[in-house]
Amino acid sequence: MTEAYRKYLDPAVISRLKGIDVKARLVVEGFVTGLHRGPYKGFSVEFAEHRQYMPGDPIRHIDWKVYGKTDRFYIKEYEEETNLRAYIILDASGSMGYKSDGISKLEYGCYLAASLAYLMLKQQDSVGLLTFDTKIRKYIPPRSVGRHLHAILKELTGIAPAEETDLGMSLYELAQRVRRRGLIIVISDLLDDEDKVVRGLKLFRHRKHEVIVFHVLDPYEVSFPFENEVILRDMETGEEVPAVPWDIRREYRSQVSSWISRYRSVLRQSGIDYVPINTETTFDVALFSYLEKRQRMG
Amino acid sequence: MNFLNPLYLFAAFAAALPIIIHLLHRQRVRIEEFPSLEFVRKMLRRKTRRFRIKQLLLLIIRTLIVLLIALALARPTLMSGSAASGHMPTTAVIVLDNSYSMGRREGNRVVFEVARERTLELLDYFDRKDEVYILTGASGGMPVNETGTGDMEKLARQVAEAEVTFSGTDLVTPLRRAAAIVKESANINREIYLVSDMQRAGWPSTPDEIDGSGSGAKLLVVDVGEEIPNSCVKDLSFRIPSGTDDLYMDADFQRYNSESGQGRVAEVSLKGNLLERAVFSPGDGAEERERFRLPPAAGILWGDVRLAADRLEADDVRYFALQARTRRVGIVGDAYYVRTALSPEGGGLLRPVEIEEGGLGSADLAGIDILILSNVPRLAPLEIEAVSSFMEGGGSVIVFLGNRVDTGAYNRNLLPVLGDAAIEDVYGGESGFYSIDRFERDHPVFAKFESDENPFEDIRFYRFMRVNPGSGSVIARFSDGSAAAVQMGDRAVLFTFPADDSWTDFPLAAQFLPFMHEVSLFLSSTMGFGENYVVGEEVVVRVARHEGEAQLDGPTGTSLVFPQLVGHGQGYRIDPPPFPGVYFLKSADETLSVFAVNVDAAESDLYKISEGDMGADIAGMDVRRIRGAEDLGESISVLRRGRELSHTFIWLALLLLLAETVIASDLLTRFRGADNNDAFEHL
Repeated sequence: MTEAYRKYLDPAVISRLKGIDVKARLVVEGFVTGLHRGPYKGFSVEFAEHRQYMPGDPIRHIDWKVYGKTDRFYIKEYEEETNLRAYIILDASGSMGYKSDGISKLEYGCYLAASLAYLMLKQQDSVGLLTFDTKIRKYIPPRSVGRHLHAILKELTGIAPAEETDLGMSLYELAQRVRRRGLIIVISDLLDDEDKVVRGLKLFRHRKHEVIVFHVLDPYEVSFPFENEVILRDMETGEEVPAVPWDIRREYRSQVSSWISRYRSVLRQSGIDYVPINTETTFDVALFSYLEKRQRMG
Repeated sequence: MNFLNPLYLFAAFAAALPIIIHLLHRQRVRIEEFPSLEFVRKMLRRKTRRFRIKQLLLLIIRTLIVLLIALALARPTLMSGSAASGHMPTTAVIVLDNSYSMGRREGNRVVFEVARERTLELLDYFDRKDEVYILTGASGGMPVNETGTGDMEKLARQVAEAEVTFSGTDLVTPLRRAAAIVKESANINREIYLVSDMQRAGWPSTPDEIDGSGSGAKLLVVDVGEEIPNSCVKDLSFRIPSGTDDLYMDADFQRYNSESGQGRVAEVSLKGNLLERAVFSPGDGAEERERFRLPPAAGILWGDVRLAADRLEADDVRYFALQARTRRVGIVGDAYYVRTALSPEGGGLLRPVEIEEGGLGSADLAGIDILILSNVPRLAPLEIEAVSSFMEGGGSVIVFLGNRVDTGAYNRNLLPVLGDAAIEDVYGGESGFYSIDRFERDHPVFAKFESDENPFEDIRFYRFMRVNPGSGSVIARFSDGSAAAVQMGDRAVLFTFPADDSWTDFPLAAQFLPFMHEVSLFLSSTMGFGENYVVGEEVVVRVARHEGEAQLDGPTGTSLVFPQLVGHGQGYRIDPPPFPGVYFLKSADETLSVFAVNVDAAESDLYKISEGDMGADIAGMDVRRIRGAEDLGESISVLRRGRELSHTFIWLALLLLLAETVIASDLLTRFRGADNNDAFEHL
């Protein structure tokens, strides 16, 4: 049963399912089942239940009283008690609609946002959603009630890529709007002016937010695997440029690599978690990153 | 540039394939949506331009490769810019005309010297890799070099030693030989050069005489000499009126390309002494005959008729030699009328000798010049052998058929010795008669009868034998078209009627006597009586039996050739004499025979063949003609192929293939290099 859920971490599998709520649930279930030895469960203060000790569990969580009574090791699990406010900011610009094979970046972002929302709400955190393209398209304020998930999922279900983007400006506006400190989760391909994007993200940090950026790219954007001569059409501007892919691939990949490296370096210096992923990356990578961030935040 | 295999040029259309493939490929370029061109925009423009240049370069290279291969298959050759060097191996036959007309003087030079210089000049355009033959254009002439060589120095020496001859022009034989040589050659360049004065008389009379088709040869005629005025002694003929010993000589003079009205002095010499002088003045191209009376025919007479020398001297003199001895005519069969006709008064040059029927095999025919078989029933095998031997030795035979003739025996035994005529049957009857109504007026036998009327019109032939002449020439026909007289070869005449009065009244007619004389003289003229051989022609002389070895004294006074004994010792076959003059065949101090050798009178006509007539006569050859001092090198460079470029084109194609491989692999390396990029493994 455990392994059966693991498959739902695969975006290709998830994309075949119907209903984003189901997708989110299965992703999180799949993720959680892999956490039985991990450090990310049980950091709440309110006791929930006991479970049998498994090798790898922290020894400090062993309930010695139960051991004294039963001569067996049991681990104490707690209900989380939190006041975390998380904002999931999803880029719905035109470039996010790109998909080479499998699912688009926006779809991947939706599944990831839904899974994060599901996970956070399950952990009693407050979670809100902002979608934007050239401007803020939708804002769902954070809440921690269970039915809030429905509102988020509904918004994610109907989302479609816009034609253009202005990520820098949108982030700036969002930073102005989100005043209460919390966790800012940005899901975007960051295809905009690099400086403006970084300035927008730094503004969140300036306002004391914790920021984690999921930089979603398509595998083709990374590897540029086209073989024959093609005409490349910009999805946002419609500009067409003839290209000989195999002739420019090396340089292209070098530039993309530098671009990612620059983001990683600049954002790290600003205390922003930067997670580059592509649409074939299993969701647990992003969820682990979130949990790590969550843990660091206490 | 031209091509040895031009059909392969069609393969050049394959050069369009790379272009077609390129265009088809261009049409298939897909449009791919891409999130952002931020990273690729500048790079794309730069790289795409470079790629397109490379692609265009590859397209050009690939097209060129196909084109070069197609061209290489077509075997392109450069026309030789410089004829002296850089040409492909060449087989050349140079025909140097050394006929006697080339010996004429023009200005201070002999035309043959000019021809020799032009030939030496020609040799400068060949080198060791070539194969050059040099033939001569004189009748019966020896080639300068018939084996072919690349040793130009040797050829130059041989040409320098070549001399003009007294022979007439014969261009057909060497050109035919030249065509055969170049046709067998494996070399690309096949050239025939004719250095000649291009007399029309020496050019092939029919187009198919020389077959140059399939040889790919080119004929360059180097025309030397001009059409200068010329006079000649064209012919000499002799007459001995029947029944007399008087001897007359008719000399024919001709003038070519000359202003008329200018008289030329002709001198007749006999045995080296001036006999008579005459002036002749024919117009341009006209002929004039002068008659000279020679001393009474007896013994050996020889001499010449000579014009004052003009620029072509060889034809200004004509020699003659006569053995005005009595001719003995052997008669077998009905001899009465024949004997009476030949020697009506018991005198004259023709002396009939009767031979008994059946005795021919044992008769001594050594002293007999003509043998007449008159209505002889048949001949025994020994007699047939005697007749055959007699003819082989130069003797002539006259056959009269008649009522006693065994046609089967004649057809089986005698006629095959004379030729291939055959008797078919006896024709005619008592109720009617036939007459001779057609005869060859130009034939010497009938030349005596100069009247326009038919001298045989009143002569009746009641019967005759119908004869199939075979390859023989019918010189007279009866009114029904049947043959009356058939000439077989030049030593036999067959009459289909008898020389008696059994089937015809011809022997009783007045015409019979001159007719028999003319026939006898005609046949005996080939036996040393007034012979007129042409330089280069084989001589056959008939002599009486003699003791000792015979030798020939020619015009230079030297024994030039040793005669060969033929025909049971009754005649000699002598190699063609190279010089005109009077020749004496001697044994010890005795003169066995004398004959004259003269130049070919046709050679005196110095008019040149026209361009139109010349071109049409050489089948399958590209003919080009240059005159005077026109540049040989320029003409040769037009007709000669220079270097073959196939290998060059193949090498170029290989180099381009190498370049294509390098350029293509460079692109491939980039392509593969990009695949090996592992900078995004973490993604």
